[in-house]
Amino acid sequence: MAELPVSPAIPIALSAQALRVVRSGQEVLKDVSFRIAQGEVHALLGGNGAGKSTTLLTFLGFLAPASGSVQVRGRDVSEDIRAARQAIAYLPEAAALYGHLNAYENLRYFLSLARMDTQRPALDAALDRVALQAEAREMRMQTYSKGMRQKVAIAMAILREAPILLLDEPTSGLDPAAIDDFNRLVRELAEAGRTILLVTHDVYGACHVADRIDLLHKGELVGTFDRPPGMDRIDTEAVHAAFATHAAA
Amino acid sequence: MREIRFLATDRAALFWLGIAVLVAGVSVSLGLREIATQRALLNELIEVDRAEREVAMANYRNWGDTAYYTFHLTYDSPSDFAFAAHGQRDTSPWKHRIRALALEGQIYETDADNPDFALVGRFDFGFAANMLAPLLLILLLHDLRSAERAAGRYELLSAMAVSRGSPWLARASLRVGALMLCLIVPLAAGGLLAGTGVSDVALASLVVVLHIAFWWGVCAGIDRFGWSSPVNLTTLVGAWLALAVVVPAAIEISVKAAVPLPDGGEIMLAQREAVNDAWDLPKSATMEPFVQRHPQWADYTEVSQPFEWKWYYAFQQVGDQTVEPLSLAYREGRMERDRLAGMLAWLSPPALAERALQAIAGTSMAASLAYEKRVRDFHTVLRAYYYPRLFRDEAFSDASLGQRPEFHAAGASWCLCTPTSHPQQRSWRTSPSLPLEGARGGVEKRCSLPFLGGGPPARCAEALVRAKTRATGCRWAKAYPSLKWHQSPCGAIPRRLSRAPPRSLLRLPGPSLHVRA
Ligand SMILES: Nc1ncnc2c1ncn2[C@@H]1O[C@H](COP(=O)(O)OP(=O)(O)OP(=O)(O)O)[C@@H](O)[C@H]1O
Ligand SMILES: [Mg+2]
Repeated sequence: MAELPVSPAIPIALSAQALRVVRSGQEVLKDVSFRIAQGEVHALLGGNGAGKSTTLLTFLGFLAPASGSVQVRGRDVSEDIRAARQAIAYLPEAAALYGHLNAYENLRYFLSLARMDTQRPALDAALDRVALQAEAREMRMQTYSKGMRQKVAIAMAILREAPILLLDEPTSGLDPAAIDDFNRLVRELAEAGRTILLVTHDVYGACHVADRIDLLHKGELVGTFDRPPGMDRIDTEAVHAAFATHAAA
Repeated sequence: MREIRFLATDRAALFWLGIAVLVAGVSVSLGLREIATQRALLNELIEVDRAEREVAMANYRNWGDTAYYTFHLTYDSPSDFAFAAHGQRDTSPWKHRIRALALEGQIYETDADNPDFALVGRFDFGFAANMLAPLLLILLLHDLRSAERAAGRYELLSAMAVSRGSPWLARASLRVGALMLCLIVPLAAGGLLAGTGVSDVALASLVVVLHIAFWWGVCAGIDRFGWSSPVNLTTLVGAWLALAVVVPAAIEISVKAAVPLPDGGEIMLAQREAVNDAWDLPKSATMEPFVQRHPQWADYTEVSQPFEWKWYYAFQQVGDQTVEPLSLAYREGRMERDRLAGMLAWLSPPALAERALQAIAGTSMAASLAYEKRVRDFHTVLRAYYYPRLFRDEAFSDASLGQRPEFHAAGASWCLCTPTSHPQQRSWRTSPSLPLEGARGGVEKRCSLPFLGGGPPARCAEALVRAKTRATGCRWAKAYPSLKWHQSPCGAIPRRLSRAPPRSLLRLPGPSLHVRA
């Protein structure tokens, strides 16, 4: 791995070192290393089964490295899982909230697990931010569409007020307008100092919001794309090309 | 608080908890009814027994006839916790009519009134708490994590939770605690209605808590494997089947095989045969073995008439003597079976919990055998009373009859008080045929201290109980107006009351009826 060009002045929020993860006897991450500085947006791109979600679960301590290590804010996750989780707002891949509760109840329940007593105006502000229609908020979530559920889950990740966000396919199920909204939101959060690790299949979106894209293929990092200084996005064509090469291999 | 609110929205959990309350409530109320029925029956029988003895007393004026025609009711009063665990009261007799004839047949005669076959009545609190509650707990806990995993919420919940074990420990303990409450509250309510001592209810609650805690441990152990909900459920129900059904059945079978028993009917038949045969045998064939047992009557064995009462009662006794080894083997065998079953019950927590509840309720095999022993002791005393009168051919007199022993039930915690037969008389006493029952396990003494005086019913009853505790040396006693109350000396008391507590009736502040000496 090449030396990662991170300024030593900015603290590292997330880092993986020679990370190997084995699931059901299968090596699903092989020697993965990267570092994400505070306030950076980092996208993980890759085909199905590449190991993206596995990477996020390892940061949360749900999976233990077979070798290598993962750190959250400089601290080994295996040392203090609780501290790692407390620093992270996590948006799972298939974010299923409770169908028998409405959006407010779901948010309040999950946030209360994090000992947060969030009041109605703050909840509404977050739901406004993801543009969930006001008339749906009091309805049980089992009546929601996939995109509506996803919006509530994103709202929850914002409300969690954690310095680091791990977002697993946050735009899946969202309509184009909502995706644009979401991308704007990600940039805003990063500018406010939050660190974001984003797993996505949306190459175009990733190129627009990410400071860096890592391409994961069968458990290995096969490419890194940085936003060139002074540019507002990463070169979409280059990422596409790399993606296609590996998909064909 | 968060999880309580969450549980309140979990319909499945609420449903199973509702079932738990229902099952416990129904079992308690059925148990209370069963015990009330037994008490009412006993109270009636006690009256009938006394009346019958009075009739016999009037009709027969010699010792032989009197001993033959006078029955004595013996019984094992249900304890005030028996409603919760019927135990042996469902299958073993708890009342007999005993007279001075051969005893074994009287003991093992299947009394049609004893609920030998009342298997439908087996649904008591013990069954609800020991058999059904673990199943309900399994239904409450088996998918606590696995359902969340299946729904894709597991990681989110765990990642959100700040405190250790949250929300899983909170959810599990809440459900476990709620289930315990659903069982204990109806039990305590039943205890309150039955006047059960606080310590008994507390002890039984502890048994319930420990037993449920064991099953929580089992559920938590299975949960660690991270299997899916159906696999968890199958495994746990399998464990329940094994521990609650298969193991107890295996224990029963192996204990029965290890300790063979003669059966009671066999003993009864053998004894009756011996008695019947005696009619045709020479008198000496009866008197010799009798005198061996009772050498003090050796000088009185001369039987000159074809029929003499002393010979008749001697061959009754010899009938008992012939089956003595069998009867002893039967009793010891039951004790040994019970001892073995008690040891093996450690293999099955539900069986263990059931035994614990029965021990608290006084419905265990040990309690049943203790009652049988009381019957035997009473019969021995009865014989000891009649033998001198029969053998020495003593003159029949009411004074001598007045010394005849009476059976006193022990083991229950009620003091039965009835007014004297003359309602106008300003005195109360325990009727001579009625027992005064001391605290369970305490010394049983009869109270015949009259209570004189008037006043409001409350004062009257209180003074009565105080007098009784003093007279009997019992640690405590309660007034239990279960019988027909006539005009009381202190004012009107309803004619018939089937159950405790008398508190409401007498408008007494709580503890004044539980007078401690
Ligand atoms: N629960 C599991 N148990 C065992 N192996 C798993 C499990 N989940 C995923 N894997 C394996 O781990 C590898 C990586 O899976 P992962 O979910 O990280 O992929 P991904 O990159 O997130 O894919 P996708 O884009 O489809 O979400 C896959 O080969 C998969 O077979
Ligand atoms: Mg994935």
